[in-house]
Amino acid sequence: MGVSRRALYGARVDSESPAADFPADIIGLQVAEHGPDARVVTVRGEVDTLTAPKLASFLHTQLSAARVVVVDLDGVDFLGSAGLSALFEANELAARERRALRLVCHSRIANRALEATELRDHFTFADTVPDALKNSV
Amino acid sequence: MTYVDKDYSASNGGAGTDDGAPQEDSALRLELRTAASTVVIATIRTVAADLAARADFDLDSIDDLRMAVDDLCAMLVRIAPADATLRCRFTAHAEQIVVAADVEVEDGTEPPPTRSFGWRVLECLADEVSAEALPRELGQRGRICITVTKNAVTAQQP
Amino acid sequence: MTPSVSSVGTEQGEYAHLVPLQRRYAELDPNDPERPGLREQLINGYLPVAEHIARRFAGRGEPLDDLMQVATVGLINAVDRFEPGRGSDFFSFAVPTITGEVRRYFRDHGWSTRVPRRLKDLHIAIRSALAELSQQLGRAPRPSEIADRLGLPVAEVIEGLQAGEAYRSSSLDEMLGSGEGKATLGEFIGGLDGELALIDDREALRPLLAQLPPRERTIIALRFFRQLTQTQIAEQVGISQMHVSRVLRQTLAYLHEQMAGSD
Repeated sequence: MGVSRRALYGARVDSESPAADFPADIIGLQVAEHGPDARVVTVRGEVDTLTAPKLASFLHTQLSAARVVVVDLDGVDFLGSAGLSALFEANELAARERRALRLVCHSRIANRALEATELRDHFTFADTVPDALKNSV
Repeated sequence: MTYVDKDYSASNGGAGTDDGAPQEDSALRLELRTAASTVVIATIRTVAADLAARADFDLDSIDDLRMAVDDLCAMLVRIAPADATLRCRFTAHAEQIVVAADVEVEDGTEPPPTRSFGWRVLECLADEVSAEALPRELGQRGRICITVTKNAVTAQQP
Repeated sequence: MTPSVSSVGTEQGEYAHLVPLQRRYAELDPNDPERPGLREQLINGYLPVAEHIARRFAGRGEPLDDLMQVATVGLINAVDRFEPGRGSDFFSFAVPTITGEVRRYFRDHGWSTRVPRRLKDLHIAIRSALAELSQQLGRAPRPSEIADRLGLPVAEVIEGLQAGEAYRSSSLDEMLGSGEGKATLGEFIGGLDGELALIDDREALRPLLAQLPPRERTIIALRFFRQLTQTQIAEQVGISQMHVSRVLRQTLAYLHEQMAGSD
């Protein structure tokens, strides 16, 4: 029994794919490259005091590597002030470094957070990820 | 986490009150005591949102309260010493929830700065916010308390 | 609270014969011809552990057979990555690794598989009512207004609104390890980590944890309350796995010292 299972999963065992290895129940961050100059970051879960530093450093890394960074917030179900602050700082960094940070956001909760705190106007939004990438080049 | 007082339930209303009819105006109180640690904040804000949903707050106000509670707990945890207890008292009136949260602090600890990003966010989210240092009682440490008031309906911004 | 590991077994007990094999396996050169055979023996030997964990996650909408396969993947990872030199036993490493794999499986399968059909439909109905009512009212609707529109009891609407969070809050219970979460955490803790299990007075531990510098506290929380592996923590915190291991060792030593001092 053990042998067959092992055979079934043999391929995955030795590969330590970092994307598959994101562990947190609370926040999930993934990045996809779109050509040499654009990256799409997908954020899922809760962005709060515990998880915001992770988001901040993640965005920082992407912004230093690509000219255009799209942040897809559709899967966010909590966005606290620490998370807003992380996004805000990434946005400032992008402006300073002449990079583009674009948000795609259909999460009701994340939109509410951006609206209620009057931070919405600071960011550039796109309706969909392809739109965000299209306008960026 | 300890639920010190939990008298919100349909028990006083008997059968048939969970159909959305507003409860009589007796305020409902809930108090949580936890270690002042960031790991518990997610639970506290979930309790706040649940309370607001049951008090029939509009969905934006539920979200706002959730964020506000997250924020104020984070502020208090930040200034709390190691062994401090975080206390959150929720009072749900018919159309308003008041959250008063406090932590024990070392002498000389200031209330969170009202010019910080977090405080600004708090002001945007709540209808009223205030912070105060509660005087020391004999043999006890002082406490810093943040109180947030949130109304059941939030007008949509233009 | 004395956590029981009897249901999983212990290294002293029914798995004792595997310990020397494990040590040998870790010592062998990656290309040594003896390795594949040993690996097989270890995986088969520890298989009941994986099955035990899989069963604990049963009844959440995923077939037990799938869960067992996923747990087995976790076990294989654990066998391959375990380093006996690190001072902890195999169980301490394997249980969170296997659990993590099963959790990841649930997460990757997304919301749709872990929420019952009824709630999923409810959620969709609520979303559409929400959009319409927001338009009409010029503000977000109340749960009672959504309930009126859909002809449902308010309690059901609230349940639907929270459906997406349901899975998450149950995992929060597990990570908190206090109050209501005690039972779940208690279930883990014996096998979870020998080091932390030595500290059985969790109430006394809590203030010490709160006093740690933020990074140390985060690493401890991720390791023991969220059951992440060192590699996973390294990714989250943005430092190397070696560094995580060092921080854990030092912080645990510190905690033990403080606990000993407080008696």
